[in-house]
Amino acid sequence: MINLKGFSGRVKKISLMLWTALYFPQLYIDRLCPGPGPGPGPGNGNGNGTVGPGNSNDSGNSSGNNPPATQANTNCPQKNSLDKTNTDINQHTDVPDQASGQLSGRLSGQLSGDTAEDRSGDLLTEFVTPYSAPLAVVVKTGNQSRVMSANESARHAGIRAGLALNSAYAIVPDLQTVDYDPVVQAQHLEHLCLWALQYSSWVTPRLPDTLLIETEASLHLFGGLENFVKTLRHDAAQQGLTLQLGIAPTPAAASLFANVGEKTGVLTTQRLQPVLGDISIQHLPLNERTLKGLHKSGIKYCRDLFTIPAPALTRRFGQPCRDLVQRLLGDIPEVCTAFSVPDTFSERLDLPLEAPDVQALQFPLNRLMSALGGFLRTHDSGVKSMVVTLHHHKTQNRQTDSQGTQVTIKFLEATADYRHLYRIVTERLQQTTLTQSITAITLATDELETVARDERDLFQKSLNQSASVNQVIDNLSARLGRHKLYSPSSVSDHRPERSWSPDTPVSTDTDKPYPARPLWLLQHPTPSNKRLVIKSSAERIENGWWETLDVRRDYYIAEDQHGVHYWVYSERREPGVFFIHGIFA
Amino acid sequence: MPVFSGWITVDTALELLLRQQPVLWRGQRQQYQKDVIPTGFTTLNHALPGGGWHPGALTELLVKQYGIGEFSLLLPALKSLTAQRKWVALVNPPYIPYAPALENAGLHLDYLLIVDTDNDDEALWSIEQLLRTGTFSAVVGWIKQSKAEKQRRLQLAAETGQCWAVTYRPESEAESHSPAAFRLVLSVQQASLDIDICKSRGGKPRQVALDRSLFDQPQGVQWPCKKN
Repeated sequence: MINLKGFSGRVKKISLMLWTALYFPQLYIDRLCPGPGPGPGPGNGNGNGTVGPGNSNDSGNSSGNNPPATQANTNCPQKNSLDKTNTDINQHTDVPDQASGQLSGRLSGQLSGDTAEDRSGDLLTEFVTPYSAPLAVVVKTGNQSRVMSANESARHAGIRAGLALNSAYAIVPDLQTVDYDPVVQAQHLEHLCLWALQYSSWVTPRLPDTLLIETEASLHLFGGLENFVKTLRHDAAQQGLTLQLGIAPTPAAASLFANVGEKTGVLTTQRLQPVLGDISIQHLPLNERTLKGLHKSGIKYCRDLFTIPAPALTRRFGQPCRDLVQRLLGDIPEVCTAFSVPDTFSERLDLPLEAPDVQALQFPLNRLMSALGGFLRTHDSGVKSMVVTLHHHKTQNRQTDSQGTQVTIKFLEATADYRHLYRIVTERLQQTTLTQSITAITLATDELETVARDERDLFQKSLNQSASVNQVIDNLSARLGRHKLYSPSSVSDHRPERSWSPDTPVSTDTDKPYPARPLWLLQHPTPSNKRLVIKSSAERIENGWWETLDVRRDYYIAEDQHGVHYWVYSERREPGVFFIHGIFA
Repeated sequence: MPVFSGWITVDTALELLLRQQPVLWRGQRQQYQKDVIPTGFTTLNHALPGGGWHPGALTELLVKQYGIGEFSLLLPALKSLTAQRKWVALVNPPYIPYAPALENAGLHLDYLLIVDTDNDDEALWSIEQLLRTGTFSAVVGWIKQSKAEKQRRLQLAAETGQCWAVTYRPESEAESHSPAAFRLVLSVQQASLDIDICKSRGGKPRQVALDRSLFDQPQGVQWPCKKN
């Protein structure tokens, strides 16, 4: 039973939901130039584990961040705090923030150690931060332009959010600027929604920069809150995103915690009020006037707000303020519309700077791929073929901009493993020659198919061996071309050239066994200029006079002076002239 | 006694773990090579340590020219692998591997993958990819030019994937250094194929001669063919 002064007639509430708010304070700039510290793109399958549970065919040791793995994260800071209060439901987790810059040294030290262990991917060395020049996002309010956010190097030079553009130029003369576009921001958030769908089926975007994820239902799947948070952080860092997390039973409180950026997290409604009470009212999402009014009344912290009776709150500070307080504490429900997924995936990404070659596309591609991974997971399907379009000219009208290099990638079997997809696509793109620099990429899926989940037993790596053979074949043909790989089969035809086929069997009932046949067949029979000794009787093959390949030959086995046996023939039309057609190896 | 049986299980589990480490070399390694692939030729089996081809190791076959029985040498082993429904890949074969002959030799063609490549670099890359995955039981490649460090990559990939790797290289490379576990120089002497095992991990260098008539039957040749 909770005893709340001023709020009468309230009953004890057991929360059935847990919300995680993902606040991306620098989403816009992170998308333009990914921040420091992110790890590699999707690894070559050896180092990193899978993003979500259970869909990967990776043969490597997927120890990295596989959520259901029951590895003990002994150096995970959250774990310690959880263990202490593990006895009852009243837990208070400290959820430290990686990038907020407000961390104590101890925590950030632990975190960096934590992340280093995860980042052992093969692509580590290939990873480069694309843009290191100072760059700032500028938002116009009225006549004045102000810096909204800045990248690492600009921040290092002293440029802060809220700085007037003129002052920013005074500090860094060669500052590059990008205008803030709310439409683009919404697009970014939508990408993130798709990405976040792999963690929960209930994702709500809150413009401009927050995502709410219902967590309670996913905890079991991810093997507990620590693992869940760890996975989220790791995946966000891989995309170079600055992320602040907040966890609370109510969406409003979760977003508030995320915005505050301090190490706060509450798992039960009972604990909500004391923790919320310490937060300054400055962080509340209320308008300027209300905040001023609160300030004037001597209300500095949320705990002061909670002592005021609800009717008085409405009268003095207006309905929005009262609603907010009640939503924070979970007294009235908050409407969270779940993000609905489109049926097809087609996403376009404009590059901030022109990319001269395919190498520079690694990072944007990774981002599109992780969105695709979330999309595929929600549809529970895999992609059979997809089209990557590289756009070359910046056009205002996106609809008409259809020219560009199109690369269609087909897979032998539907796959949902986005690391595998990424590997194939990068390999394929490296084979593409470009005439112009790239300004945008579009990724569209053509065929979706329900993917057969790879079943594993406890000890074996994978029961489904042929599935991984298909993955290998995909892998090779991405570089060499599909026609370079085949399985031979014999065809029922007497003509030597026609009695094998480079692909799937045409007819299986062949005359087995054949008489003497060489292991090596020459692509084109070559006239023999060697001294050959005929060692066998003739085998006459006459067939196909109705086709272009009219064969009337006598075949012999012949030996040269080195002891090599050849399969030679002479045309019946001109006997005595021998052609080598095969070699007995 | 039940008390000790528990210990024995732990011991074998540890053994299994150690055996799974391809980079770990142990003094009594030889006794662990139980899963060798028999060559199909008795004299060659006796000459190779463990009595056959070794998975997880690179075998180099150095030949002066094709057509002396160099590929027939592998056929019995490949036949037994495909019969167990294990995948085999041929990378960059010099000519078309002729399906009727392969069928004559008893290969299960559904488990045979052939990869044509344009140059040696692509061939090396493909071989490494195929070896590393561990889904193929044998990968046979034909390479004209390679270097010791490239061969080392293949050797490591073969160890990682526990796959039997074979590369054919020109005989002129016999003098140069190679990190392959096994090196066999093949030459022909009238009716016999001379195999000079000049490097053999866990065994001794020695010479073996195989009668070439052993290779005829798999290709469907039945000597003596009467010459009219």
